[in-house]
Amino acid sequence: MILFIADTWCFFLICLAVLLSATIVMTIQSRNFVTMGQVKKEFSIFDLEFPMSGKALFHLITGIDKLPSAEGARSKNALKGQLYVDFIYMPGVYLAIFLLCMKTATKIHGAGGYVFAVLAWLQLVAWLGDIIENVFLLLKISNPQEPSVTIFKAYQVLEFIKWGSATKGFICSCFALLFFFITGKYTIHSLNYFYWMLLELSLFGLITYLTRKVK
Amino acid sequence: MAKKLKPEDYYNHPDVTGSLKKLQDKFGEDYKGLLVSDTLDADGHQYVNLVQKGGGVLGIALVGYTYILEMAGIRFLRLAGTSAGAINTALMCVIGDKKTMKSNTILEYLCTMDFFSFVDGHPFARLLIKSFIANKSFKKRISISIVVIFGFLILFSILDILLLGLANKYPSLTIWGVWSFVLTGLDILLILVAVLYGTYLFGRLKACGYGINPGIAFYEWIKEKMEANDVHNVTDLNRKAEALPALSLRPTNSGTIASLKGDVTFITSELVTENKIELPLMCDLFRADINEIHPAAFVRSSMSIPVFFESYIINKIPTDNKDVQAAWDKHLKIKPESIPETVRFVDGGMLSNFPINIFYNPKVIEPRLPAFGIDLDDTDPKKNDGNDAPQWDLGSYIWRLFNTVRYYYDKDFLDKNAVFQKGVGSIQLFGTNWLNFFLKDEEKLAMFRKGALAAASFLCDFDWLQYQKERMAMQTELNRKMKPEN
Repeated sequence: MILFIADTWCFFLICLAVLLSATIVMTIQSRNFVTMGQVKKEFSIFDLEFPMSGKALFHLITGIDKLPSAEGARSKNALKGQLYVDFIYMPGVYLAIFLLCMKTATKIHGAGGYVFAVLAWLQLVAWLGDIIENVFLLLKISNPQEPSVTIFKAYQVLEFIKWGSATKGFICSCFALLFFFITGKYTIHSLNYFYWMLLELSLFGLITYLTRKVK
Repeated sequence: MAKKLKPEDYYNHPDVTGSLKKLQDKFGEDYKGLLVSDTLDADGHQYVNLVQKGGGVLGIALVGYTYILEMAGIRFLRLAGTSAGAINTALMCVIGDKKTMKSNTILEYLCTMDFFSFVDGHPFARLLIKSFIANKSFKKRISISIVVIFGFLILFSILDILLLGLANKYPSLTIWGVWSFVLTGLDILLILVAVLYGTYLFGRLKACGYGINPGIAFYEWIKEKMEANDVHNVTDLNRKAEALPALSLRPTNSGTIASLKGDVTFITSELVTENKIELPLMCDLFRADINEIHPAAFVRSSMSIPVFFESYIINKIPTDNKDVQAAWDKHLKIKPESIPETVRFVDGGMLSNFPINIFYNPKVIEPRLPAFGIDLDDTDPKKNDGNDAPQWDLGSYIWRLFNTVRYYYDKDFLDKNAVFQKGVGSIQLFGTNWLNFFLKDEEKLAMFRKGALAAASFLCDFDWLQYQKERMAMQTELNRKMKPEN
């Protein structure tokens, strides 16, 4: 259950680079998300992930078609595009959290280690959930239909499992690793990866800032 | 499973039957001794104009009031209302014809209506609203939860520091240190989720024009009721409102019946041009073909309680259309270049929650029928002495400011035309939150009963001849003052 992965931090940096790159693209795409309710309004991917009802999800998607054709097409393409890019983002984010949890699991003896191993494997469940969610949304965009109450309920459960697993895994492992960092229980060699991570995050911040007006 | 309310549960209550008995004792078995108007139909119904005040769910009391009026043989020529008053007004207008007793059908609608379904916003917002309104200790529980979460954060942080120090000396404590850090992280996660979710919901609120509930469920409900009563467009609504039975005046009245007309008016507040809008009268402002707007929209716009409901928006106004331009000039004195393409409505109660002034006709000297009004009064009699004014918190202060502004328009009319006050019956409803869409059955019944009791009390005291005399005196005096030499 607990995997000892050689070069965990190296793999982690690769995953981080993937997820940060995908985030930049997805942020740019999201600037085109508009739909028509009573009036034209912007929306975010969270409105699709946490709609208030199946009807609201249906209205949001069909509202895009009520926009002037060019704007509607731009919004729909951006939305579809983001859902496709999300397939690249997923391995980045879930594998990164998986690696963080597994790394923590290897550093804790006894039951605690197993708890983190479970959190690590849960990331694969979250990944699967995210794939199902994206396929569901892509189908709804291609053929808008109001989901049944059962399907919508299942969709909501899926979202909670996905977000619950990912955020808990990330926060718990980060804080546990922080403890090991503060108490000095790490190798000097691993600090190099830490510097690389800071570099990646700085680059991400810079590119995000430079592309803040790009649509 | 709880028993579903039936119309009989409303009108068979001893308070309601007792109210009718009281009226029968005073005016006779068939209420023949009751005199409220000079306008009559062939069946002996007496006709009045009726304005109904807005007040959220307190509107149930309006049904109790109109039930008693109808049972006493009173029918309605012109109808007007704002917000909840607009809802009852709309139903009274569309059901049957002028002679039909409407309250029984409205009660049937009331029994099958799920009030909470009108709170059709985000489930979390619905939960919050429900908890805040229906659970008095919810605010306290929220405060306690916040204190507990931040208390744990402080506690875990202290524990983190202690275990960090001790783990160096006692390695067996390392695992405790890890878990203390993890728990700190989870506590921070909880706070982060709350903050981010709150920010997200506020962002949504902003995108929805600062309205928590879209109001689609209500729109669909009132539309369905209108269509079930053969009102599919504005023309149908006007036809229903204007259709009069054969009417006659009491011989004592020197006026004529010919100029009497029926109509219906819903009041709404328009934010783009900052105007009070009377619908359907002014709906030609927004479309060249008035039937492009469903009359359900008039009621929906009249009851758009700010923040609670999304504003009602009409866009794509044909500003180039000559008829539309003429309508803007006629109703609002707005020139073509200033006509907006989109208008945004909020609750009519913002400007005129009790629009009795629309029944004032300066050309009439001797009134042929009175203007009745139903007032919903939920003010706390203890809090109205002003003794606590210096200690108001910010919320109370803003609420009072808001109320002073929004009530003044109607109050000013009633102050200057005091005779109209004689036609107003007030229903005391202190203790019920006007936004409580989660009413229990007994609360609905209690409000209906209060309306019925208030109506009976009003009819016992109403003196048509005195009203008529004072109204004539008022108009004569006004006309005298208006003469050029004065």
